[in-house]
Amino acid sequence: MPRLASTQQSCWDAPLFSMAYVLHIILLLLYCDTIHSGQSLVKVIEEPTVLSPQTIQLLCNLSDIPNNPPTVTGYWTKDGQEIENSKEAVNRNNDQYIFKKTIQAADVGNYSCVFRENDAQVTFVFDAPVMKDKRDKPIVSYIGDTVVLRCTLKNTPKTWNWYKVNNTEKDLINVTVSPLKYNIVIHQNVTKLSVLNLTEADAGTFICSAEFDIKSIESYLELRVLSLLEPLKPFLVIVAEVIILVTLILVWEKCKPGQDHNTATTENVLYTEQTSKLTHSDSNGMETTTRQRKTEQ
Amino acid sequence: MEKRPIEPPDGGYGWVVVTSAFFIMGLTAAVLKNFGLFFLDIQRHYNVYTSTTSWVTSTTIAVFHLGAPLASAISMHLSQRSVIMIGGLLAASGMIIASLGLSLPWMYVSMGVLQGLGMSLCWIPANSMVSHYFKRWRPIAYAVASSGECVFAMIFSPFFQWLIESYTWRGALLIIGGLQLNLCVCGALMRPLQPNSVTQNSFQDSKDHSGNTKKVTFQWCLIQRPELLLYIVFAILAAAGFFIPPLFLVPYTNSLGMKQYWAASVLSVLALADLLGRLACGWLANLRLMRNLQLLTMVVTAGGVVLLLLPVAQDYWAILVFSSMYGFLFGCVMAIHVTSIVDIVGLDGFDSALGLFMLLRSSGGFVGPPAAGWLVDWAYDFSAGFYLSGFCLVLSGVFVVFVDRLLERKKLLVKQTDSCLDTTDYQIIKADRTDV
Repeated sequence: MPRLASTQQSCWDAPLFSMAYVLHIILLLLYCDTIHSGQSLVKVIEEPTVLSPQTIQLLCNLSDIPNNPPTVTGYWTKDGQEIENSKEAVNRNNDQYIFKKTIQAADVGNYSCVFRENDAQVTFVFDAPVMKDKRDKPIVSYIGDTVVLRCTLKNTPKTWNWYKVNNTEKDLINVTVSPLKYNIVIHQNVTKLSVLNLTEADAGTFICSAEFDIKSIESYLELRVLSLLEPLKPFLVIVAEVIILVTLILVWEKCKPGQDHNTATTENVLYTEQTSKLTHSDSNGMETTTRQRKTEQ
Repeated sequence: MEKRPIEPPDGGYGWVVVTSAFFIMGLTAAVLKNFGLFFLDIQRHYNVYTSTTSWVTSTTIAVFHLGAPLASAISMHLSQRSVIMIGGLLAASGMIIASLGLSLPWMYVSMGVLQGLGMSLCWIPANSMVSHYFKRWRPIAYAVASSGECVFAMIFSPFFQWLIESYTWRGALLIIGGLQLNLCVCGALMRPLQPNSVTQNSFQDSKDHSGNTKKVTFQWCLIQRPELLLYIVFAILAAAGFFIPPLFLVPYTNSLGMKQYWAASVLSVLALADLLGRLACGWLANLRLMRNLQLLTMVVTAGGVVLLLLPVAQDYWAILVFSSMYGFLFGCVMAIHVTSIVDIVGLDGFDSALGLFMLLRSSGGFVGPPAAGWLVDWAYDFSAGFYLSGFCLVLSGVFVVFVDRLLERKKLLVKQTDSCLDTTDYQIIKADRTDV
């Protein structure tokens, strides 16, 4: 039976952590052995993660109570709710009041010891490990392709299971039943589910479940299956736009300044000279005047 | 046959050409900059190493540079418009083939060769058209056109990310291929300049049956000119210098203990400063307060100095300041280093010179990063990379000074001619008038 108590005397003024932060802690135990009056303290220390069934003893040590009464009453709460029959009278022991509780490792939750006299409390948090590589965006794949869904965890669970959500029900994925469809590979703390030959029906939510003795941890993965037409639609729209624009530009250019070219090439050379004098813009004026001088000579 | 100089319209339809070039730069260079978003997906799909996947991008860049003189030569025979449209079709087909997800060699062919060639066939003529359409406003026109690369790079980054999430990388590539078809639209807008109409209406030329007055051959002999040669040395050193900092900025900020998103924000600031630098320098060069080459010397030397000082920065804000200064100066160099080619070889030799320039400059881009990587490994310090790039940039500035000196001396000896075609417009007009 692992004992957590240590004889640290000081308890630092850690502010109360928010619940959101606490949930991210991987099975850490919070422990504080000396509570000063009027403070609620949450202290974090790394302990080996408790993954197999065992009993754990929580210990709260209260000191520095004014008047030093012979007994103080305290009770334990789990997840904010008072545990029945947990109220106890704690006897003084050399100016300290030691309050203990024994729990099973499987009973995960937040345990707090609360002392009536000065409302001091300490929260011990038991929580499950969190999945790494959490994907909040759906995994996308195409019909006929193979997709690999992956879950990793810091610790190695006893076993991994994959489920497919089917209208709020979980269906276990059994590789032996459908070997052509699914393939599961497990490498200790990593598991991969390969879904072969995707169809539209395969789209949906998949659950990878890491089974421990005390609890199983789940992570959700969403799969979206697209048909090959999906990216083809915007592509064809763009191709159509390109063809239209190129045609428009070339036609516009042929029609607008094209008349000058046509008249020049089909006419007599001398007449060409005269029209070129009249129709050319200023940028060609230099060449035109040069040519004029030559013909005049 | 007399050669008629093409007088740049300097406005009017030229601004349509600039807009078209803006989109061309965006649809080519900006797509290349965002290739990295596909990296992981491609690597996972083909189950290969990171280095194998990165060869795809390297192939694209290599073909882009090698295809530059080819693009110049082809655009002399066909019009720039046709070349850009062909380039657009090639680039789009490359993306479409890549989206099929065939074996890895096909990725090299499609995303590497076809895409790189298509980009090259679009980018080079676009530059050429902008330079030919403008004379007085050329610096600003080119700066605006080249800023398309920055603007589109910033837009495409989140857009491509969204495409990959919605359609997977293959669907995204298909749609991007479709977008690149718009290069054909841009090409259609690139109306060729006057020379065709001049030949058709010309009395003299039709009698001589001399055909077109456009330059027909790729002027390889331009490389013999010392000014161009020295300018290309500048380009090689500058390319070596410029390719290094983007690679090492993120690892450097990480080594100082900063998180990944701080480093990413530095790169974003760099891109924004790049855009501002291009526009500011284009405007500044247009004021004609000094020669383009003098301005280029100043900004490239300043860029080198900023890089040499960058390792002094140890905290986030200092790095941000130095990076934004570097980004700004990088943009300045980008804005004027191509328009300066016109000052060196004249408008007629510009196309050939640009092709040669791009081809030879790529060597700097290929040698620089590995050399810096080796130096960083040897010194166990990222600062070594920045020192190398700063040194390269300052040295390249020296070469620009040489080029400027040579050109000034050449201008003083007005009657000097060489084996290639005569370059200054003034000379030809003068000859015309004396004949008459």
